[in-house]
Amino acid sequence: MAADRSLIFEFVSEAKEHLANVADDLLALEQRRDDSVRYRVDRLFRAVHSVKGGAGFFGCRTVEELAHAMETVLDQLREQPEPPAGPVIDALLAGNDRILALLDDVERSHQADVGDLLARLRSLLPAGAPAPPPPPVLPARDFPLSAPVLAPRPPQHVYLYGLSADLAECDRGGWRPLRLLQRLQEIGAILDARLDLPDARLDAGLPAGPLRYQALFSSGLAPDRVTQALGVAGVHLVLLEPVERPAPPPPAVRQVTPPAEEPTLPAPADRGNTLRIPVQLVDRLMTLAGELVLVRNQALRAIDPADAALRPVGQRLDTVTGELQEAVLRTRMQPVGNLFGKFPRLVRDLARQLGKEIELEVAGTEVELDKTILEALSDPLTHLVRNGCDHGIEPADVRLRSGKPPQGLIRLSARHLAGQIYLEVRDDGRGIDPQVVKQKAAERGLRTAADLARLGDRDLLGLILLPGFSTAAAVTDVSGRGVGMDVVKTNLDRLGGVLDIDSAPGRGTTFTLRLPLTLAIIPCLVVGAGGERYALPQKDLEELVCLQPGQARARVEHAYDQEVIRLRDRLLPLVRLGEVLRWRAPFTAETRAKVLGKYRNPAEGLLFFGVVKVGDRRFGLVVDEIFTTEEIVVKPMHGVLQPLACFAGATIMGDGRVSLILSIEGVARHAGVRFDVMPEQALPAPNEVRGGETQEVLLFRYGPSEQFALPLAMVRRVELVRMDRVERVGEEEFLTLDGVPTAVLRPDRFLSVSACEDREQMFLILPKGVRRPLGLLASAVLDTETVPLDVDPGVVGGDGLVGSGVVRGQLTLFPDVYRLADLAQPPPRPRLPAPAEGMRRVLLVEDTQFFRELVRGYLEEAGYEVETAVHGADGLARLDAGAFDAVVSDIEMPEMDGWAFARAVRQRPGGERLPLVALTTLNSERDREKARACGFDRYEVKVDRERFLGTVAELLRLHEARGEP
Amino acid sequence: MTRRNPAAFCTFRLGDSLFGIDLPLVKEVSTVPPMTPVPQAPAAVRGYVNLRGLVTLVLDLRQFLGMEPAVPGPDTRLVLFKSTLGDPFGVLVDAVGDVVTLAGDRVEERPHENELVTGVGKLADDLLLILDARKLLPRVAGAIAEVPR
Repeated sequence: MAADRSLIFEFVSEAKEHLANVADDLLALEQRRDDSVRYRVDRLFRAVHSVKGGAGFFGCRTVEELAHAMETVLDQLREQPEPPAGPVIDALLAGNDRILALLDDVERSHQADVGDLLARLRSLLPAGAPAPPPPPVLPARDFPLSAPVLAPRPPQHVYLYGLSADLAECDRGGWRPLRLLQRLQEIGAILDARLDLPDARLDAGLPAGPLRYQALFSSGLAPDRVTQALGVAGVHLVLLEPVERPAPPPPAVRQVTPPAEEPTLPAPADRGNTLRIPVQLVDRLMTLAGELVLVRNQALRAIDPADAALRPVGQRLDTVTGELQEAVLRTRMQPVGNLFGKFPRLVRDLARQLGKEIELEVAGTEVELDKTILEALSDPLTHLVRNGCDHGIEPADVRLRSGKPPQGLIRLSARHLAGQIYLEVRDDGRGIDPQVVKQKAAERGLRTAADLARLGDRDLLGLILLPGFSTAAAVTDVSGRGVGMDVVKTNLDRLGGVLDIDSAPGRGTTFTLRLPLTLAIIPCLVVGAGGERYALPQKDLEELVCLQPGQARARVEHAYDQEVIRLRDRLLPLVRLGEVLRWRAPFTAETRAKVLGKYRNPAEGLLFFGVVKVGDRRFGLVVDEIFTTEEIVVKPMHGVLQPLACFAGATIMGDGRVSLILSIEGVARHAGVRFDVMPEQALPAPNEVRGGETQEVLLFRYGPSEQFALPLAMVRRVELVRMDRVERVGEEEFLTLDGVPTAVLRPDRFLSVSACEDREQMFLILPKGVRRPLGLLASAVLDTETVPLDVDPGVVGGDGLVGSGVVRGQLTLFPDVYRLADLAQPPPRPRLPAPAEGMRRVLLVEDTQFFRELVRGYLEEAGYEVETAVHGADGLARLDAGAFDAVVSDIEMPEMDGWAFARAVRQRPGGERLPLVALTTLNSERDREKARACGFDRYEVKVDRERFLGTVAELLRLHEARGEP
Repeated sequence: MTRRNPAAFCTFRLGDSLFGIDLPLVKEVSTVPPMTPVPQAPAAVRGYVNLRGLVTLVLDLRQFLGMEPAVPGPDTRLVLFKSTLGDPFGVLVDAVGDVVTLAGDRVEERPHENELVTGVGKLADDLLLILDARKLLPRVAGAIAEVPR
């Protein structure tokens, strides 16, 4: 077993893939799901055979032996047309399971005793089939086909065989020539062959007389195995002794050849278009893609958005980078089917054990999920399915009596919704009665009667997730030992997932698991402590609280040697992050005393803390600053730093610097948070519906990092809008809705939240009761949700927020629409210089109606008389028709653009001195240069009203000063 | 004891002394990017830097050799090691020198008061203290293990 570990690893993972299919095929055979019995048996044989080959190659004798026994049974099945009986399937499944178990610890597999299973498998074979005698040994040169003994052959093919067969006789024994050849290919490689053809024509069938076939083939299989595999009448086998080459090559040679090259291992069907890649390489790709994102961000900042030449390049870089990152992320993804695959077997076994009839339905197997999450989901999902079989589905007679079909149904499904994965385990069994749950919870003292009385049905169902809860009337072997549901919840918490329970008594129960797509990128809150930034995973965060100096003093108390705070009438331990990080060793009584002494008289100032959770326990983590939320790529801590339990990893922030990711569990342990000083044990999460008042909010997103919420009572309506209809006016953006120009507020303009790339269509949320028409821009409208009315005063983003809270496990910002509207309102206009008397006729050349009207409005308001033209040619025509004191022209126009128009104006008699202003969205130095060359006097960017009018007035004054007409 | 084969060293200065590390262990030499300290780590761990997307640990070699902590200046460089030594890491040096190749008989392997120094190489006008980079990470691990947890 000294072979290269990575090769063994390859073998193990490949063998597991084979064996996973084996279980599926066996179950299909049993249920006679289709008519392709033969096809399935063949596939089974090939799979088991491959495992055997690999095991033999790596010297895993026990696995090899077991696989061989299974293969022999399967070989028998190939001979019989009808599907195998139950006991045969059972034995084969048992063999399959045992091999899987052995592969888990393949290094020690040879120590395992599989005698019982071997005997069980052998007992399935028809009696009286004695082991065939070993083949005679012959010097290779004596075999008729000895020439290519030196021919290259796979190094693991240590045996050389000579075969002589009468194909006619084989055919009579049920072995068609093709089958014989296939078998030879399966067990080895044919090096040379000769067929002695008689004169007879073959198209009429095989001749009656002997048809001699001789083959020289190599194999890794020992003589007894080969004899067994070729145990056909008419076949004679000899083992050849190669003279020129030592029989078993040295192990070193064996190790360097990957088993994938072994021709006896039939490639899985999709080998051609899949690739095995080490996870490290994928992680490296992730890293590089992340780095490219940083470079892209720098590049986009450096590119002048008005530079017509560079802008498309920037946009393209942006798209390509985004897609690259997404593609690399997808390499970590695996279909949920890999996880669901084991459940048909599980449900079958459970049904048998429980004496019930249960059918399993699986949907959405193609939905993809991060490999890490998929692996971690195996246990929780197994538990839920077990529960469904055991507690959910009733025995057939009970079902019949209640008018259901005797066969129970368990449905496993996966779907992708709004960036999350929803896994559902649904049964049509007896359901969970909230009243029974209530009674149990009271009996076990999990909640007080008063608490229970306040809970609604849905909240009552949630109680089954508490440790120590079990509703099963009888404790069975399958489930119901009072552990489990809380473990499911803990596992899900760790993954940042959420579990919902829905049940209708008598009709069934549905468990919905909501999960993030990946753990490689997690949403975090960036906080500051001791002058450094740290990432705090949002899955550990429940809410953010900011206390005013006075409040802090009133609400922070001391319990023994720990700071606690009164929050909504509950006491919450406080941990100061800065102190935790300052002390290398976990807190002792002495450390605590020092820390406490330091904060006995807290300085005046705001107190920021996040309510974080470790399992069911919560504490307040005090930080110096709160920055923003960010999606970060998680990288593990350096190997030597692993003992530092306060950190879960590191990440590279948007500015390219490294930040550490906090492990809340580690911080709690380091600080030795004492939860037992709390009079009330578990503090309810702020989202749990309490007695207090609630409100409906609209959940939406803008940038990738934050979730926003707006009370539904404040929303007039939500419009789907096309972003190419948005008009820019200076700093402001407008959309015309129902003929009314409506200001578009981008959350990132006023709040420090992530930016959002424009999509073709976005949502505009129109609030009620605003003084001027405006809407809040959103990239996605998620849902509505009921949340507690008392939102905590916000600290993230600052001005313009009502507060923040955690909704659906995500930090959520509650924008203050009215404050945002105030912030967006342009300042009152200053008095403008009035145009000189008699200098007031301006020609405005502009193709867009919106701007034409807007700029005309500006000019007219300032006292000019304005005539408009829709493009350059139109403008020239107007100049022909009347006299103007100044011309204002757009650049990008149909028919004749601004450049050509300006040149034409300058060439007109009397046009050389005409004040000419370019008013455009183009804003690069090159464009300004070109404008000068074309003859424009001034260049203004759309539209700073004051500046623009100042320019026009100044030009006219200069013109007048020069005494021109 | 002397080595038989000529060996190449990446040389650098710390204070007044010239040090060398086996060239095959060195991946690259870089300027020092902005550093993020790792609280609770031993003092010789200066922090993390981002080197082209790779989160890299930076150690203060001076502190391992009983010298004053490094004060980064214009000549300060980061000598980075290959992945054969473990997760990405590097050491701060006051200034890098040339790569020198020493014939086997110019290197004397002998115990030194600091166990990181495994030998001394004789240059024309200077002595080269040869460091064993393999011992650096275990030193950090040892320092972390000293703290009760």
